[in-house]
Amino acid sequence: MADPMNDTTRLGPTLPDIQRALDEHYTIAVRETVHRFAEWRAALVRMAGRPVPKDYAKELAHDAYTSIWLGLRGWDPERIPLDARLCWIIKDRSWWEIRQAKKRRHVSFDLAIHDPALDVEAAIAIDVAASATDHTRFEIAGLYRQVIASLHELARDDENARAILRCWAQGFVEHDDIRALTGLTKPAFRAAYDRILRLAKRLPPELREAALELLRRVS
Amino acid sequence: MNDDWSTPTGEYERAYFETANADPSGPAPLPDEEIDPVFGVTESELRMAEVFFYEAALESAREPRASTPEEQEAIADLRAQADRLKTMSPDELEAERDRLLRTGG
Repeated sequence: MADPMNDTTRLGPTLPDIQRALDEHYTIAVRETVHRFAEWRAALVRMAGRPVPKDYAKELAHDAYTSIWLGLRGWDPERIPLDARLCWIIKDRSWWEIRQAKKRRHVSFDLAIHDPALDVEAAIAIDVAASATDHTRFEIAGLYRQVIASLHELARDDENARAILRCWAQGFVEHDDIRALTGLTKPAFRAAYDRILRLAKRLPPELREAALELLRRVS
Repeated sequence: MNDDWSTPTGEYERAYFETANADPSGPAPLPDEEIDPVFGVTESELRMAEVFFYEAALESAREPRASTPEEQEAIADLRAQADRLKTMSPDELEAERDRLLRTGG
């Protein structure tokens, strides 16, 4: 997914200015938020079947910071809070990891089952591991599908929520951009945005439980 | 006639997007979009769900609560790692750049 917060057509601050702002804005509160967010994304990557190190959440958080520090990713301190920017970079990277994990698993599994040196026991172990991965991936896919269905349902009777969701589907994330594209006033945007996010708390109990159970299993 | 009535909060202000002819089930997939074989939905629907998860997780992560000792250690480490960047040589920074480009960071 292209980085919608990395608009290079806007004249922004210079890299030294960004580095100074990073240093100043990287408070304990920001690091707490970013680390918690990274823990959730690390759990999703594990669920996708990619083995990750114990400190993977910290690695995601620090790499996001470093990518801005080095100028690989943009950040305009005047427009976007640092925690939102870092979490978006973590989301991007972990989504990439989830997709890579899917591809790599297929390649390594195909190579393994065609290896004549592989004994029967090892082949069974690989088969079982692949089934487990397929199982968790199926559950992730189910979670996504149910959330998408719930978002569609909300959008059906809520014009402003529908406008926001359409922006998300087309890759627009920044609140200011969405307000400009939709013509929603700030209060109207906030009200519709809150209605969408309340969905996270109103997911069917079995879906919430499934998500929690998945997290417990991978943590 | 242009109807410019709006509520005090602007709650019902008309959206920029014309939605009268839109699919009432929500954002329409792009015409040539393929269905992801694992998720069984389109790329635009996946983007929508990913932004939803991002926004919901960010709000949840921002809610104040006491950190565990492990979290406190990680948070302190993150500051130390950030400070180390300032003292790295150009070669070390270049190596970091190469690593991040390889890992999609």
